[in-house]
Formats: sequence, C-alpha cells, structure tokens
Amino acid sequence: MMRSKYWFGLSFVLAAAVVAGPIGAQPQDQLTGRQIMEKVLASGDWKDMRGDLVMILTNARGQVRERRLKFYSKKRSKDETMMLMRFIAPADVKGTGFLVIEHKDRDDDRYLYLPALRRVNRITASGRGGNFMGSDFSYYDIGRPKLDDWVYKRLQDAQWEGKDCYVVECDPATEQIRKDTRYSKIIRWIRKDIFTTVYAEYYDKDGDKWKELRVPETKHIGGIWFATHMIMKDVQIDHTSEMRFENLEVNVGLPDRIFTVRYLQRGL
Amino acid sequence: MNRRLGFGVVVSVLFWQMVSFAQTPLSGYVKFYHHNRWESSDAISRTGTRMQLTVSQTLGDRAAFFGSLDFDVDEVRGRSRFQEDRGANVEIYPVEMYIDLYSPWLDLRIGKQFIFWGKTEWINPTDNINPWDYANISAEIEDYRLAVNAIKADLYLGQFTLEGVFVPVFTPDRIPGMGSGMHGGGDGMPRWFGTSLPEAKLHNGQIAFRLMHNLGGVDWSVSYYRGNQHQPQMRTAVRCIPDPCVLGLEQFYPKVQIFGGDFQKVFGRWGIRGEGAYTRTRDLSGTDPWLPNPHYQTVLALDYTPTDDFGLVAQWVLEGWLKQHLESDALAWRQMHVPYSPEPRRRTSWSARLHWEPANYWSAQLIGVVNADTHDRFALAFVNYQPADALNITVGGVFFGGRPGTPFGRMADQDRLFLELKASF
Repeated sequence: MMRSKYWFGLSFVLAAAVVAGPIGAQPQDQLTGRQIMEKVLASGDWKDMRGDLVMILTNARGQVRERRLKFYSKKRSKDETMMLMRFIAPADVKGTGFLVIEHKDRDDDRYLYLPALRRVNRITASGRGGNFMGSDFSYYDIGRPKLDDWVYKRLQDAQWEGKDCYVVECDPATEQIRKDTRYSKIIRWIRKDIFTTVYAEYYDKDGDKWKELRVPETKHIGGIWFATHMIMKDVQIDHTSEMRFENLEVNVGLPDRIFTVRYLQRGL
Repeated sequence: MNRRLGFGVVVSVLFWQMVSFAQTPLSGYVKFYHHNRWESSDAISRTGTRMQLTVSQTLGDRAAFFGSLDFDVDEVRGRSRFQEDRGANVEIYPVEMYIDLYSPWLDLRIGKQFIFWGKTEWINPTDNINPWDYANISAEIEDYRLAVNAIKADLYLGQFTLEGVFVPVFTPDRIPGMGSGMHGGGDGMPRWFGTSLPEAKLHNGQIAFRLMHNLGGVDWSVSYYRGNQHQPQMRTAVRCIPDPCVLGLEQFYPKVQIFGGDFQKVFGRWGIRGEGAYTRTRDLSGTDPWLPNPHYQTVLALDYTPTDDFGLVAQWVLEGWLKQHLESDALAWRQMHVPYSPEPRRRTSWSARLHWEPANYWSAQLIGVVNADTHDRFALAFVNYQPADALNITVGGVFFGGRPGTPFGRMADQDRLFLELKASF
C-alpha cells in the first residue's frame, strides 16, 4: 500500500540540495548571522535538473528501509518549480509517481499516480512540520527556508571535521513558525569556504535537542554547490535517515511535457 | 490439462520469449493468500499462491508495452460455482497486456487493460468500463476488478483532454452464487433459461468518452458510456426449441447509457471531490417490469489529512430511481414466481475510508459503507505489516450486514477473513 506521507513537500528537496550560491566580497569576519544565512540561501542559477535520490531509514532496532526515486525538476519562474518523481524501489511501490507544480498565488498542484489503481489523483498537502517520506527530515528541513522566518545570532566560530565554520543560532521569528516547524531553535555550522551547512542541531519546543544533521558530502555541479549526502538523526528515538543524491545533472534542457499529468500516468 | 490451462502455458511461453527478446527486467510478486468464509453453506475458503510476472518497456518516445501474467494455484474448498473460471485450481492468465503508442497530440493504448474513471473513492458512478469480481474482494484492486480488451485513445487539445474507449466484447461482473436456486420449471414454476450475454458483435461493443479539463486548480470532467449494465437483471423469455414454446426466465445485461461528471479541488490539508451520473435505460417511462428504470447516483467526498500518519475520506452518496411503477412491477414478478424487492425511490448512503500509519512498517485501513435508510452495511478492514522492504503481510476482513433483501444484507453470507503474504521483486 502506497504511503501518503511519501509525497508531501518533496518539491523542496532540490532547494535543499542547493546549498550555496556565489560568495560576495564583503569581509567575512564582519558578517552578521543574518548575512551569513543570506549567503547560504543565495540561489544557484539552475534551470532544470534530474537525478536519483536514495533514502535509507534505520530505526533503533537496526531495521533498515531503503527507497530509491528518480526525479526531474524545472523552474517555472524564480519562485515556482515543477517536479516529477517516480519510485524505483522498493519493488512493491515501483512505478508510483508524483507530480508537483508550484504556484505563488494558490495551492500547489500535487498529483499522485498509483500503478495499482491505474489512476492519477490530486492529493492534499501536509504541513511543513510533517515527516518527508516517513523519514527524520521534515518538509521544512529539506525545504528552502525563508530568510525572514528566523532571527539569527552569530555564535563563536568553530571547526567541524577540520574545516573552519561559522556557527549561527536560528530562532523562530514568530510563534507560527515555531508551531509549523516544531523547532524552538536551530544551530547551524556553516563552512566558511563554501557557505554550506555541514552540521546542525534542532531543538524541540521544550528546548531539548531533537535532531542532528550531518552533511558528509557536497559536490560542485554546473557551478553550484549541492549537498549530495545528508544524514539526519532523531536523538530522542534513535532513528536515522540518510539522503543521497546520485547521477545529478543540471541544466540539461528538460522539456515542459515531462511535468504533466499525461507523462505522469504513463507510469514508465 | 484443460484448454484454459493449455492456453495459459502457451501465453506464458510467448510472454517469456517477449521478455527474452526485449531484454527487459522482470518484476512482479509472489503472494500467498487465504480467504475464509464461515457463514455460507456455499462456502469458499480460498487458499492459494500466485506469482505475477510483469514486464514493461519504453520503445523510444513513441511506444511502450506492458504485460503482467498471473500463475495462480487456487484451491477452492467446499461447493463452488467458480471451478470453471477464476477459482479453478491451477490457472495462468494475463492480468493486463497492452501496447502504448504516443504522438504529440494523441496517446493510444491497445490491449487488455484496466480503465478506472472517477475522482471519489470506492464508489464511482462514472466508472463503468471494467467489471467487478465480487468473488474476490481483497485489499488489491486488480483482484476485485477484471481487465477488458479495449482501445483507449487520449486526444490532447490544449488544456482539454478527450478520452475515448472502445470495448468490443462485453464482460459481466463476477458475482458469487449467481444463478443459484434456479429451477427446471416443475410444479408450475417458470423454466429457467440461464444467462444471456450480448452477442460478440461489433455493434454490441461498449463505447465511452470523457472530456477532462483543469480550471484554476479544479479538475473536472464530463463523461458518457454506452454499453451493457455489468450486473444482471431478470426478464421473461420464450423458448420454442424444443416445441412447444414455453415462457421462462433468464438473466441478461440490459443496455444503458450513462452520462456523468466529476470534479476535485484541494485546499491545503482538505480536499473536496464530487462525482455523479445519470443512467438512461431502455425503459424511460418505467412501465416495463423487466427492464431497469432510469436512475442516478451522486457522491460528494471530503478528504482530510490532519497529520502525516492519518487520513480520512468521508463520502455522502445519494442515488435514486425514476419513473417507478411498483405495484404493476410487483404483480408481473409475482406472476413469474420471482421474489420482488423494489429499489427505493431514493437511497442515502455514507461511506468512509480511514488510513492510519503509525510507523514505517505498520498501516491500517478501514473502508465502510452504510445505507442510511435500510441500515445495511459493508466494511473492508485490513492491517498491513512490512517486516522488510517489499515484503507485506496483510490481515483483514470483508463484512456485510443488514436485513435480507437490502443491498448488503443479501450478501450477508459473503463475510470473510483473509490473510495475504506478498513479496515483490
């Protein structure tokens, strides 16, 4: 049975993968926490991309689940993206597809194709604090955070695995953001040379540490830095989720017809 | 080896040759299943194992093919009338096999296929192409629906899509116990002539059209179906071979035309869906007691996903029959010694589907339908556990209840529990 929770928010996956844009000329030691995050969030100039996504989930008892998807994405405008994803594994959900077309001025179009039902259906969306594909990544974690959603405080610089990092504390700007994300605080370790988050700690609404994010691998593809390997651990329930991008190709000239219900329901 | 099995072996050899030639990877599943009925003297306790092999391949941008073949070893315990078809002990049969052809503005799908229409859940008034297999209700749709040989064309006209379907040969619903209790005409009772299927002629083929569009985030469509009703109806018939001519009864599948439409719209966690259809029969005045009256069915659904783990779909269903002449119909039926149970002028039903998935490895689902006026009910409930990727254990039950003569009450002896173990590859 296909899990509905697999689907929501995945349009943000690639936004998360793009971790840094061009680095400005401002003296870096004088940067504020907000300025550092501005550089982290500066978008790369990609028009479309495709690749494979592997997600490995491990629970406290050591049980492992692996999901593999093929994805295609294309920007419709600066703030709107189209994405088509299709499951490759596990075998019981192979062929299941998802199409999302983002809209600035109304709800996104989200369509699910279930091979067992031979039918495409428009589906409802889940909140930003929910889990992405049953993993420890929330939709907010894998999404592209809005700069104004948080208040930034630069902490003492530190090293992470031998690399110099800025350390920035992010506090929710509003009660709604706290409620939506279910985080009271995020502390990010950001590499100074490429403005990439390489480690982060997430705190729950009671102020207790909830999750840890590690980024063991970043790659420079088509002039853009991508976090191609991310590991999120829920330290409260000892559950780990690993997300790996493979065969990533950028600006390959994907045609618009890929991002249609017609293409989705071909199911191949 | 019977003819059906022989045919299955030939098909499987051809299938294997196709796979070898195309060098495409095989996928599919192996499933063990046990369905246990306990209330019926005509009990069917099904225990069997099925392997499904699936092959699919795109041939550039212009074509693709898909085939799935079932190898089924199905033991049917007790008295059963299904030995002659799907319930037979060993069977090899194609589930779906079709070829897709693509052009910039037209997609064609030709072959044995499923075509499911409609946007509401479980109850779809516009979904009239593939018959149901009521003998095989389970958690998987391809178990309880039957594929048909068809030509399906999707024509893309800008923002509109026009879908056309032609099904040359009619396939009826498979209904447990159909024809039971019939008699040979002794003691003043009418003779029973069996079931009459539409002749396999081109003009008896079913056709259907659907026009689809998206307007500002609202998907909507209108549809038309012309063919035969998939559920049988009783009628009188005269047979003169051998002489003398005698009046009797037979089951047949009346011609119908169905005009339908549907829509869906999503607001964040909420979704609203609607679907309705009007069935135009050949008895527009309602005066023929042996033909169905015109009728309609509408469904309004509210879809809510409060959390990642939980989803709810609630549906309100209204159906009704027009131009009824209950007294004259009852008289005609009684004269032929046929129990008469008229459809109500209007019937309101509620249905719901609850889906709960507390962990990555567990999920539970409940689908229920209650007829508000007659209080008869149907429920399908199952729990799924995944001990490993692509390995599913499903335990569930199908339950019917209600007074005799009500739609679900008539099937009260069809209750069953089922266990399925399925490994996909």
